[in-house]
Amino acid sequence: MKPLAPLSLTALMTISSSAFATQYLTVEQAQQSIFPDANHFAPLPLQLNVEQMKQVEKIAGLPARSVAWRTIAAYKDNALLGYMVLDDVIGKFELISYAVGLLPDATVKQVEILTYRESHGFEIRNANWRRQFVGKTANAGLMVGEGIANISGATLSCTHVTDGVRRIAAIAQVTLKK
Amino acid sequence: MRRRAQPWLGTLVDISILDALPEPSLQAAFQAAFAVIREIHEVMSFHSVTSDIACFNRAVPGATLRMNPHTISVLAAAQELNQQTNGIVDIRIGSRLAACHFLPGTNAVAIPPYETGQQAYALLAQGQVKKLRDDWLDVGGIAKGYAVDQAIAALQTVGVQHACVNAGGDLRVLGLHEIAIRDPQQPTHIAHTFELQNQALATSAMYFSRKKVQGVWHSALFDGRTGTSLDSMKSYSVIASCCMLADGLTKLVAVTQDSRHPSLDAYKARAFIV
Repeated sequence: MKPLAPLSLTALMTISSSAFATQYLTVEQAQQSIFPDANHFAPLPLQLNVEQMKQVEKIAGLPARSVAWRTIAAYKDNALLGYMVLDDVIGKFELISYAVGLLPDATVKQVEILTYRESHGFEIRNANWRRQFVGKTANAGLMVGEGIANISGATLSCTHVTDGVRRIAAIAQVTLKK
Repeated sequence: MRRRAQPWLGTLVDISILDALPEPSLQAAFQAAFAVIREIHEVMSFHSVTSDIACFNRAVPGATLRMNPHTISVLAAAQELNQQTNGIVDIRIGSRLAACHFLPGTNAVAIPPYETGQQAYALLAQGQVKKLRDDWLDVGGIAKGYAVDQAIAALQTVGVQHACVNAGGDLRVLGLHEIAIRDPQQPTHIAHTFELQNQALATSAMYFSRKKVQGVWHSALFDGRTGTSLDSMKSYSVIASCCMLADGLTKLVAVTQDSRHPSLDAYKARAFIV
C-alpha cells in the first residue's frame, strides 16, 4: 500500500481562521423548515418576569440567562402550529446561532443550526467580535449554503447547544404552553 | 449547494447536498437523513435513560434484552473490531469514561470496574442481546460513523448523488469533495486539505476532550487493552469505505501510533497521523 501523505495532502499554513464559518439557514428558511405547513409567521417577543425566570431555572437546572427571547409564532390560517425561539451560544471556540421549534404544548419539535462561527479563544471571548454576529444571520459575505469545506477533526461537543435547547424548552413550558 | 445542521450524537451533524433537486425533494432528502440519525441517537445514547445502551448498562448480568436493529448492527461491528484490533477497540470503556468524568455516572449505582479482555454481551437470534457481565457500554467511538453511513444510505434511497454527511468530524461523501483536516496544535486552523470520492474519513484527536482529572491529563480516547486514556497532541485519521470502520479504526491508529497497522489492510483502510 502506498503511503497516503505525500500523495494528496496539501499543507495550508496561512489560511485564516475566518474560514471556519457556515451559514445554514436564514430565520425565514428555518421557520419554513420547522413548520412546512405554516402560511403565516408573526413575531411574539417573550419577556420573562422574575417568577418565571425562577421556574425556568428549576425546570431546566440552568440559569435562565436572559429576560428577553426572540420568538416567532407559526400559523396555518388562524390555527397555531407552534413557536420558534432563536438563541446564540458561545463555546470555547465557537459561536452558534440556532432555532428551536416547539409545538403549542411546549414539546421540542426540531432544532436547526442557523450559523456556526469558529475562532480563537481570544476572539470568541471578545464582546465586540461576537456582537458583529449575534442576532444576525446573513452577514460577513456569507451566503446560505456557502462557507467552509467540510472539516474532519476531533468532535467538538455541542453541550452548549443541548443546554440551550433545554433552557428554551423550559421557557416555553413556563410562558407558551397551551 | 444546500446545507443543514442539527445537534445529534453529542455533536453537530452537518449535511450538504450538492444535487440541483426541486425544493420538495431536497427537503425530503434532509428529512430522511436527519430522521435516521435521530433514531440512532435515541436508541444508542449513553445519557438517555430509555436507550438500548442505557437499558443494557442498568440490566443485571444474565438478563436478555431486545434491541433496535441499528443497535444490534453496531454491537456486532464492535465485537468484530474488538477482535481485529486485539482488544484496543472496546465499547465496554463506558465505565472508564464515567470514572474520568467524560460520561455521567449515577449516584445510585457504583461504576463497575473495568476488567480487560472480557466480553460484556452475546448476540442472540431475533434482535436479542444477553448481558454476560457487569459492564457499561458506550458506543460513542463507532456510532457516529454508523449514523453517518445510515444517513448516506437514506440520501441515496431518495436519489441524491452528490452529498456529504459530517458528524462532528466523522464524515462520508457521495461524489467528489474537498475535505479539510484541523491542525491538532491549533484546532481552529486547517492543517491540510485533500479530496475524497465516495469514501469515509474519520479523525480522532484529543485537543477538544483533554482534561485534568485528579492531577493527571486524560482524554476521551482509551486503550481497551488497559483501560487507560491517551494523551497526545497529534491527530489520527482513517479513510475507509464506510464511516463506522473509519471511526473505529482511528482508535487503533491513535493507540498504536502506527499508520500502517496490519489490521488496516483487512479493511482496505488507509491512515495518516498529523
